[in-house]
Amino acid sequence: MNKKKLEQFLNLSLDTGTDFSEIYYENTINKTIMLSDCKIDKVVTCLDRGIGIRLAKGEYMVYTSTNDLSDENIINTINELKQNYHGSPIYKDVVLKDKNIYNKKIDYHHGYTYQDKKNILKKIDKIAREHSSKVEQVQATFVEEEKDVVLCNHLGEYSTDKRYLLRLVIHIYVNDKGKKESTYEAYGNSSGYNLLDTFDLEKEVKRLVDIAVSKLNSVDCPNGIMPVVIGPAFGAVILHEACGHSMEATSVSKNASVLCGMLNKRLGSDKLTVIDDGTIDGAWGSTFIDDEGELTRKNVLIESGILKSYLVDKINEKPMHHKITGSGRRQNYLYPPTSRMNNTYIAKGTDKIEDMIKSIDYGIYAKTMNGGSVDPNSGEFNFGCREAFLIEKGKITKMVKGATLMGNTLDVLKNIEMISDDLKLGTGYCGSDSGNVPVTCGQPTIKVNNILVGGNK
Amino acid sequence: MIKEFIEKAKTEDILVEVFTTNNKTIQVKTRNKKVESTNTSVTKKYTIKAIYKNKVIKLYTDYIDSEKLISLIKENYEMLDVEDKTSFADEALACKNFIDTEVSVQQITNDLFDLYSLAEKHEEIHDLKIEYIYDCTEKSIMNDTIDIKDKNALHNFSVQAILLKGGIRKTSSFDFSFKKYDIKKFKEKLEEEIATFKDKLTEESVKTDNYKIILSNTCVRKLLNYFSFAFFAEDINKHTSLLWDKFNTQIFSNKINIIEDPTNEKLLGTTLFDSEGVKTYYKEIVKDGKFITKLYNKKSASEDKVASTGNSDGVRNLYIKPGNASFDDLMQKLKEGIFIENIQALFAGINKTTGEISVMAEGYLVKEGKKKKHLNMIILSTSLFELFNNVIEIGNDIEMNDQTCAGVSMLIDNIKIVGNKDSR
Repeated sequence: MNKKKLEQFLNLSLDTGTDFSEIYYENTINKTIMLSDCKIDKVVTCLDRGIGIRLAKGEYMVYTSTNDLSDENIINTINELKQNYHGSPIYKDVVLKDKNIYNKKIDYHHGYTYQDKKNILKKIDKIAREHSSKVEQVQATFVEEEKDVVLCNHLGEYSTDKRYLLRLVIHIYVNDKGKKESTYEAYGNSSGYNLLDTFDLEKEVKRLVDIAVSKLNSVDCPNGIMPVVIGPAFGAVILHEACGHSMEATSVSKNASVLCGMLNKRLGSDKLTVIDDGTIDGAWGSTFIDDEGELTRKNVLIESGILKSYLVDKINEKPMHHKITGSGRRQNYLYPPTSRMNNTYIAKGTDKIEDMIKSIDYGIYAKTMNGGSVDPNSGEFNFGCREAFLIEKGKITKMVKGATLMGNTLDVLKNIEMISDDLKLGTGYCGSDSGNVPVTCGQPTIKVNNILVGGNK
Repeated sequence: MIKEFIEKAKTEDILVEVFTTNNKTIQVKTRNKKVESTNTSVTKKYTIKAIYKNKVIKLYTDYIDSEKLISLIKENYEMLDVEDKTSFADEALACKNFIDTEVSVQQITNDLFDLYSLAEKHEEIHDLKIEYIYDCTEKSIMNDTIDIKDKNALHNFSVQAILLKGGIRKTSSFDFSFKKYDIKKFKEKLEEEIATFKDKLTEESVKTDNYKIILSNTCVRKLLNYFSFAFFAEDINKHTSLLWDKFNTQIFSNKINIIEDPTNEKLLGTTLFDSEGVKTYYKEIVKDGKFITKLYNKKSASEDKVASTGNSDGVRNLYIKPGNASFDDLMQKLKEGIFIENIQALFAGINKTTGEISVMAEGYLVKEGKKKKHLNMIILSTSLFELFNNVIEIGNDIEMNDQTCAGVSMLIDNIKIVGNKDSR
């Protein structure tokens, strides 16, 4: 996709009076290497290459995507698309100028050969099986991705990005005399195989085996409204679901969020500061530019309990009278972008986890989470615990299974009583209107009062 | 282009089969009788199955670049440990294309606008979003000897309403799919649904207890969808399926019969062959509660020395065999209990290894066989085995909303519902 062609396409798209035109191009290679049954069982490569063209006038937007990149097809597609608008051109003779050009050099593979990668997956299997005879199956998967992105628009802005992702997912299945359990963990970054330098693989695999084995003897979770201590890293999925989605322009601009009209209003205690930052070097949810060509940035969403910003994309900038936040994201060329989170976290506080546990007579310690969902309009959310424990008389006692937490965004923000200093980031995928995008959820351990816990006891 | 690639690969001792998917989608989003956006997509995607020195390599690609693909096949070959004795599609299948007429965006827009009149008398509806998606897929397989085609289309309507009344803010949504564009039928369905939206403007819950329940056809469909992996030989052989040691044993009540019916043209997921060119067919997976049929692709079939069941792409039209009772009959038989209308975020609250379920739900408290009040902030806390073993009666209200599974409502005894109320 050279600039001259893109200029030609943009100018063609603008001649029926649209006030916004954007072309997104991507070329992606994605490889999955999976170990199962002690062998490299699957190696699958995906090649994605296509464009998405977005036109808008006022609040009416049309989008089309195609992977037939012939000039003839693109011209026909644009001609069809622009028939949605009628009028004299507002923008014409667009000449593209570099705006945000990716020029960083990344050593993605860090010297790891395919044989090295196979050996690492086999090492995971070996460590797990040697650590416990109860391990019945180990599945370990590397997912590598390299994506080239080009974006240009009616203002002549031309931006590029090169995006790298690496994800390692480990599943451990255990069996003790017919009783089965499993657990998993996912690790990811946006800089490649230096991921393996960020944690002790052997220790991690043994930790996962220990969790799966412990789950075999876990007891049914109690139910009712009680205080909950939520562990660091991906525990912040509560923040992501309960709070982050309600700050996205997609729902705020339509008055479909429980946080509409709440800017500069108090949502939580002074202790609570929430940040979304797409610039954290190497973090799983980081990108150089967003999917509208804007530099990603560090956005303070809640500062000392006060709502300071929403997450806003270009289409919603005008109707919301809110500056854009570099948050337009999409899964791939098949989706138009919408405002999304990148790396969202609660800033660390000063409380100690020991004091949180001690302060609870009867409650739950949700050490790690599975994920969940939220209705941004009502603020009702739920999420499941991957690893949870009972707290009795100020002490962690038994591991519990089947713990689900439910609540309401505004209530839970008010009920965050303590925030510790052990901030960590966890990785995941977030699904919404513009597809699945990699996101980081992060937090220190927090104590929340009055959450509805559902279990089978 | 595909033929050239097949020929070029052959010169490198690589045998290639190409599965092509042509997809067209049209999405029209309206809100409060204004068009918000339209989104169209036309793509052609290829799945390459290559056999090289007794290993099978799969690639998914947007374009055919013979040299690049051959290089990737060789690269992936080096990494794979597993030999695979599967073969290519070889049956000359008699394929019947489902022909559907695409509806113009203008016609769709007019039809969607017309639906807004249904909301006019409902003051509680503060905001209404109605969307339509057309999804048409044509698939074909080409290798050295065959060239076969199949086509299927789906029309999906979805509605989301923001409800406001007396300081309570709720969302109500539902969606409905058809094989043929049928705005009249959808309008009837929407009218029925909109009349119940106001029920949601409550903050009611229940006391945590064990209840007799009706699990709606939507919930049953979602659960079947989530657990369908458990019937696959690949997961069973790797002991990652919760049914790995339960083949040929009684797993559910003898009232439960689970069927996969991919060739049934009345259901949404009709498909005549899978992506490996294996003919699909009607099969009983669970018969009278006993797990009797495992699902195979060519690779797992080859390992177990059986024939593929045509499930290389998962399941199509999987359902529990309907009973005779209508939904109203089930409500009369329930008399007092809870109707679970919907469940959310299954991925977060279900343990796929053990079958334990703890998921957010909404529904109605039922008294004297009638919906008494709407419930939210409740949790369905049970297991797949408990649900399907405690079944009292199966309804005949088959619900189709996706191409993989369909659902029927079920009357079930003694299921724990967690709520935040002290007393019933």
